[in-house]
Amino acid sequence: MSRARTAAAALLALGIAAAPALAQDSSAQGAAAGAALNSGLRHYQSLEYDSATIYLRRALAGVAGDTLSDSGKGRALTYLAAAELFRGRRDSAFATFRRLVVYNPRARPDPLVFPPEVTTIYDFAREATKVVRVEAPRDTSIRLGADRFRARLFASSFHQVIVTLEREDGFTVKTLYAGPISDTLNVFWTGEDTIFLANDSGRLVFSVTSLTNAGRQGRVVRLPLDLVLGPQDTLPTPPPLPDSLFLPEREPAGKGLGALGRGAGIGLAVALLPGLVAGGNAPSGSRYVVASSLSIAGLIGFLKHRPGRTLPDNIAANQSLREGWQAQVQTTMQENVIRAQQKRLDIHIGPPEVIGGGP
Amino acid sequence: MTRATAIALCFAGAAAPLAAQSPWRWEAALSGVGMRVNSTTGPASQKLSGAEFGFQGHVVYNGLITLNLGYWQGQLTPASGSTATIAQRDVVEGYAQLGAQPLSWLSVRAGPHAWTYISNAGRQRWFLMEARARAQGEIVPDVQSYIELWHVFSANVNVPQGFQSGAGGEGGISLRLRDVPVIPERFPVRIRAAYGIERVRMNAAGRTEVMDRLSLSIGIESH
Repeated sequence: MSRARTAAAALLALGIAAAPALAQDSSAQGAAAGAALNSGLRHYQSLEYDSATIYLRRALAGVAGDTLSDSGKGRALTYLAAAELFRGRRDSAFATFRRLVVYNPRARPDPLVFPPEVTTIYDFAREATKVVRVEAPRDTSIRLGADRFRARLFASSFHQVIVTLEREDGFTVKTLYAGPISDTLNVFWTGEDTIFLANDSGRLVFSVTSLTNAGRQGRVVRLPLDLVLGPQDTLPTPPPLPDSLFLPEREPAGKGLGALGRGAGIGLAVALLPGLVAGGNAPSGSRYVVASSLSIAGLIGFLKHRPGRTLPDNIAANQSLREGWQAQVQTTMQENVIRAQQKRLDIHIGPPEVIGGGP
Repeated sequence: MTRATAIALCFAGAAAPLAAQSPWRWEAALSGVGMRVNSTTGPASQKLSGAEFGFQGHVVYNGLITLNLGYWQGQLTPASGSTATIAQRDVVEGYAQLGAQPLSWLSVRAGPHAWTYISNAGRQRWFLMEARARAQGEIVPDVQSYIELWHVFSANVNVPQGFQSGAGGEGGISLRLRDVPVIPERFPVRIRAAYGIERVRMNAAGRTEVMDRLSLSIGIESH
């Protein structure tokens, strides 16, 4: 019994001790692909093509999954194809370039880095490989009858494609496009084929079939579309205009009285100035000219701004403001009526599935 | 007079570039003043009246610091009702005062205000240090009124009596005119009418000098 316990404890200790080592090994694998790529590139630069292919294949294979990034994988394939070509293995170079085209139809060997014999092989491989890459927003919403779902297709070379919407059982719901594609193509779908959806949700498959030069089915890319139908969001009614935006439509009392006070008050002060500051000595009558001018101006100011007087300019400005707000409300209501009749389609795209067409 | 006009024009010309700079505001005006002077010493009184012409102006920096300048010269003649035999005299007057405008409607300033009487008997110089406060307000758009009061806190006068006290006040109305021919639109014209009175009392012999003025001015100002 004691020996069994000792053995169990030893196994546990061994497991604990081995765990960090295993984790380290796993992370080393992640770095190993990048290191292998760098080694492959170094050997390629040193014209050691045999060893370069070994390192590049190791980088592409990866033991615990391919850890190279998209661009890293494109570089590895390009240098591998070039290395194969310089090793005299033209067929391997061609096959590697086909892998590159399938992986990314838009990838190209840099003509400033690679000689024409390499780019020529690539061009042959690209011409012989008929594949399409599909790009579409992962999650999107469209208004039925107003918006369209858009998918962008990137072709490796000129060929014929058929773009369809299918049910999961393979039944074609709608053919969106059938014809040639040279470089890029935008395919639109209005979403109106979703009327049949039960419970306003379901799944369709966006399928792109590339045809060979002989007209046979080559490669098929299938994107599952998870669809949810819902009511269109309505616009909120514009909030009522705050009172602070409106100008006073009648003259307030303060302005007219202020003008009268400033005019008549200062006029009175001028008339009394000799008494106030000069003890009433030798005042001249000329002060009354200024005093009466001030008083008359004050009176005019009072009459011009007499309390309660209607202000037509302000009334017109307020009316214009109200009409603008009412027009906004009207527009919003009309838009909401339209939106109430429309439905919104939420589209979520699942992971793509590729069938056939491999190099 | 020609010299005063030239100085006024120079002042206006020099101030014009300031209009392009936002921190500066200014006003420059030509003015004519109808003066009455009542100089009383004991029972005797000398009354003179006349007119003087000159310029006045002010500059405001950043809406806060103010500089006021004025210069006039003219002639006074004995007025009817004078109890003493007096000769006519020339008068030259000016002030230069620095101040502040703490509120849009209130400004204060202080500085010298001086005038000289020149007659066959000689020159009589009055040099006063004043502190003034001025309140102004708009009656209707483009029409402004103001009242200004001041106190004389020291005086240097070449008369035998010593200075005792002094005070004064002025009130007026001004009208701003736009679209005046010849004058550029960016310099509105302002016409002003004002009445002011000032009394200075001396220590001995009950001497009192009272000057009252009715002034009319026309000038231009920055926006």
